[in-house]
Amino acid sequence: MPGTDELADRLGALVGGPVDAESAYARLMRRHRLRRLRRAGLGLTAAAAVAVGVLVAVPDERDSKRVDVVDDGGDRDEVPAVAQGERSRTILRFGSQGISITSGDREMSVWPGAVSAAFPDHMGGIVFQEVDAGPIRWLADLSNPSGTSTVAPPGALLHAVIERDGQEEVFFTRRSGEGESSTETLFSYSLLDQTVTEMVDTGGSESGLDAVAAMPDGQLVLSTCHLQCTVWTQEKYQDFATAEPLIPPDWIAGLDIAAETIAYVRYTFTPDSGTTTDPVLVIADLSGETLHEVPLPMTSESGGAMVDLDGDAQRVIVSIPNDGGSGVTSVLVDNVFDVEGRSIETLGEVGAAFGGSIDPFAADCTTPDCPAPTGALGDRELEYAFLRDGATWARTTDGEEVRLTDGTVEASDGFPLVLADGHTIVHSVASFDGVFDRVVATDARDGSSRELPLAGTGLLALSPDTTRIAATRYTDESGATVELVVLDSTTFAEVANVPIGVEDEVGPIQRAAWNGDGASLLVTTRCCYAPEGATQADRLWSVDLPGNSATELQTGSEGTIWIVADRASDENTIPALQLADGSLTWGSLRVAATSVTFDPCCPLPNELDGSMDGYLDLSERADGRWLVSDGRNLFELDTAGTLRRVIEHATNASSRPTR
Amino acid sequence: MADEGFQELFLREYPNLVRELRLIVGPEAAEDVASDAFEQLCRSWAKVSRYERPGAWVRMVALRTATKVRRRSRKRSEVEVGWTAGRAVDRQVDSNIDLVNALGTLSVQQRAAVALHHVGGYSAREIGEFLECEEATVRTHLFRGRQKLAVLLRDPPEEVVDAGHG
Repeated sequence: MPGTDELADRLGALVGGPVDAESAYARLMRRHRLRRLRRAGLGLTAAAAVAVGVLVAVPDERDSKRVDVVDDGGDRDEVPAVAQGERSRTILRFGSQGISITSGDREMSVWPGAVSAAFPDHMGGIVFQEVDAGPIRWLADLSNPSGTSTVAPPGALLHAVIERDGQEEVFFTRRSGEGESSTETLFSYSLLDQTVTEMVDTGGSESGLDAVAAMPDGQLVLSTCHLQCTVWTQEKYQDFATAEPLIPPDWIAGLDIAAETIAYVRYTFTPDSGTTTDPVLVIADLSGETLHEVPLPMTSESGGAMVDLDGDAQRVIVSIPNDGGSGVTSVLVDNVFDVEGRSIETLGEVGAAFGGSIDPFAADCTTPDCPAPTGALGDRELEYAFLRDGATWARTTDGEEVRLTDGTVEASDGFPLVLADGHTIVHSVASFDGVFDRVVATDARDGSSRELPLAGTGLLALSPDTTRIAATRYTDESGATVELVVLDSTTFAEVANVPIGVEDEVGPIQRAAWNGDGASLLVTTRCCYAPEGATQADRLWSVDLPGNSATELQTGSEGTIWIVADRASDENTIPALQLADGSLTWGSLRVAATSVTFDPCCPLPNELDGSMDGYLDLSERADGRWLVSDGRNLFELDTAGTLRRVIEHATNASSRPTR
Repeated sequence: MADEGFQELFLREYPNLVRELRLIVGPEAAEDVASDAFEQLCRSWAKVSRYERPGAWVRMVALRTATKVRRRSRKRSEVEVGWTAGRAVDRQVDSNIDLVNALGTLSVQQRAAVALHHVGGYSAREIGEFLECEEATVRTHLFRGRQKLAVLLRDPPEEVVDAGHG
């Protein structure tokens, strides 16, 4: 057994890898310097802006190198169904209406002017370009649109924002010269250092850069076009006359790389008509070999595309210019590697990109000087109450999870009960030695909490008619007696008290189930001081409230732990989970005068974790289903034993009263 | 702007904080969380440097962030994946894998209490300051955390009489 010292040694060995504090300090100083500039509303210094401005000032000619195409409106039956599902991830949208950020149902406008391209940086800001080859700007602080700084003056073309080698780089091209002698050059602007670096020439009068991305090692990858586009690593591009390209010339557009995956769009070219049609999203490995092709449900006359691959390469946003050249249409392709699970979701006639680290909806309060915010349901209806990370939470009937307390109410123990009013959540708080310290009531409407005068009381279950609460207490004298007490659910006055036994012999009460008529309960106890090597098992008791007595029931199942529901489903039939030999079985306990028998229904799937049975809980819902909590997640369970997870990371939970 | 005192504090506290956070949020996120906390300290240095223990302040910030990270990730498996993909599997140390898996079952408060006590060497009172809770609550987290670890590592739990040795 690892004692204190041995556990410390094992944990120390686990985490004892080297930590390069000197490098971390250098990185921190660089970040800190940048953020100071951002807060001050600074970006590019005047001198640097002039330096960029004098580079070139020639209108973008990229369109001239692309082939105008007309979509043939061909058969799109093979395109997966478009789903307008819930979008929980943060997405950046941009276009004639400006820039907005969406996450689920929430939307926030962060820039009002028309925008042709926008990319999140990796520090919570956005780099974007105004329409008509306008200036490239950096909006570092989303809450302060007037604080943008200029990355490049009008005339440049924004291609990407890439984080590599600890730098945050904005890549843009500019043209210099006139007519046939014009050339295009790729520049990098460092957001951290506010310096511009000339990277490489990327085209002549009829050629140019379409997209730029970076390999995992930081090497740039360029897609350059002259009629068709060719993808090169930067190293090979220097030698493009003889070197092998990463992706040979084709009718492709857009490019992004993430998680050792390349994504781009390929069109079909019809020589007779000179048109490109049928955009297909191509997913390739880093050698350029195609892994998947996903037909896209859009048409485009221009043949261009912007591609944004999410960090884990599971999702791609593709934006394609609309027919007629006005605006773009974007789709989100999810599960790109999973043919069966793949879906395509329309994002509308806007440009779009993944929000990256942008999270304007998150509470930004982590310092001790800033109290953590809490929420409240107001008039919204509570469906579930649950405990998570030391705080009391509620989930509304429309699925929103709201943290009601800031965690100072120690919600680390006890199962919450939702009282008959539908908004009062009560739960017990236990100290480290298992003694119930106090009972806390939280009003989900306004998030307020108060302590009830019930010190030493462990709440167990709400009666079927919601008027009473079964709870447990111990007498104070030596050789404490374990008691089942019944409280009025409105006044919290004690209305019944039934001694179960001496604590050292029967152990504490684990769970209580009300019978249908509310006149009796089934109670389980487990002695917490089982001799070493002995199998812990629950003892079952029938508690008769009018008779004020408890009778132990014979189970015929040694070594079994019972997770009984909070109430009977029928007269003397109580739904229960049986935990025996490490397996959980869903069924019913039938209670007779002096014994119980278990009618098993079905084993439960593995996702329900019974390894820590002290966290398992079972309660009834109104719709014939049951609520199961395993200390990590909250599940709904139907009569056939099918589990459906409804809340993740919920320590303990319950639903509002149902009858 | 930060001064030499800040640099000295950083170089002294950062490695320890990262090691503690490795147990709480996993090896991948530990340095990020620690860096974020020190960046906040840097911004507030003019004020916090006058505090008696700026190191406690930054640890408190880091733990708040760690809770947030954990809450966002929600899946304990993500923490485990970080470990198993890194040290544990590389070294093929079965006992480490068991320990990582067991740690993954702890709540974030339990994990923090165990990390701060057994890796950082802090007392229950000090941990209570960092976690912003009562000393008794820290003992609760420690007891339950160690109890879970003991069960999952197939060892009987030890009784926690006093968490403090720091």
